[in-house]
Amino acid sequence: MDAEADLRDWVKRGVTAAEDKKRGVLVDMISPAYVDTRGYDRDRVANIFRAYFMRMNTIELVTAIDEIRVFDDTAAEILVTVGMAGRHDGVLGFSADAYQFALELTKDDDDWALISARWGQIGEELR
Amino acid sequence: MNILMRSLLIGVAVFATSLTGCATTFENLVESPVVKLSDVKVMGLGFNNQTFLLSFDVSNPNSFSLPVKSVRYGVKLDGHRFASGETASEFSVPANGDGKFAISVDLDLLQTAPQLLSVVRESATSDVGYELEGQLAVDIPFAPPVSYRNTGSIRLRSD
Repeated sequence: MDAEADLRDWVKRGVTAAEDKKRGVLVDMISPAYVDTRGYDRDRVANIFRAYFMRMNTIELVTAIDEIRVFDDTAAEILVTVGMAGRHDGVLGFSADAYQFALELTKDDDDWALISARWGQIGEELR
Repeated sequence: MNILMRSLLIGVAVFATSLTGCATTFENLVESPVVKLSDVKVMGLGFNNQTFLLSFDVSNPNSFSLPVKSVRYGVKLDGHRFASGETASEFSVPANGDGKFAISVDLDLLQTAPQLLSVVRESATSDVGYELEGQLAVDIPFAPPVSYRNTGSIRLRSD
């Protein structure tokens, strides 16, 4: 499997884990060294996942991978748009409250892991 | 994959998920924090302009820290609308912990609420009742703004 296909599969596994509320699977996809500009580390992200999964009856996401960039087969950036199912302005678009995420990944031990992320609502600057 | 094909696939996915009952809701993601007006300090009293510093205490009942990106507020003193607005912020309230924020407001009470001038004068020597309500915009993906509301009494301070 080439790197891009591998990364598409990584996103698919993440979406499936989120919709199945498999927090452990999601946390394992995050590097222990994760840090972002908001000051989140892996534990804080894991706490947010816990809130999502405890408070939501169901989670259904609509995702579209906008871009995948691979650097030397060991680092990658994925630009992905994520919307909530049921909240859309039309059949061909995401609603205004959809988010765009820029995910930075590194490849350790033959698997990709999230090392940092920026995000913002569509139209906002990612940070 | 060209743009038309991708748009078509997204459309099909959105349409398909919309038929499944649309049960996803993030309205309850964040439990409302408790926000109290802790201090009102008179920074300047002029004939056409009065400046106040409103200080607030926030208690976060959530098991995760609450990053706040903007505050919408409305304050009534003794039943009269005192100050309201929205201000961009960047502070975080720790998980199951407390935090503070402050907002500086410039008012022209003579124009907007002359009856409050006597309230402001009196509240320097005795407590005055306040009503507070607003919303905090939270910097967590898909989290809607969380509302808060509180009442109490406060004494205005001028140093």
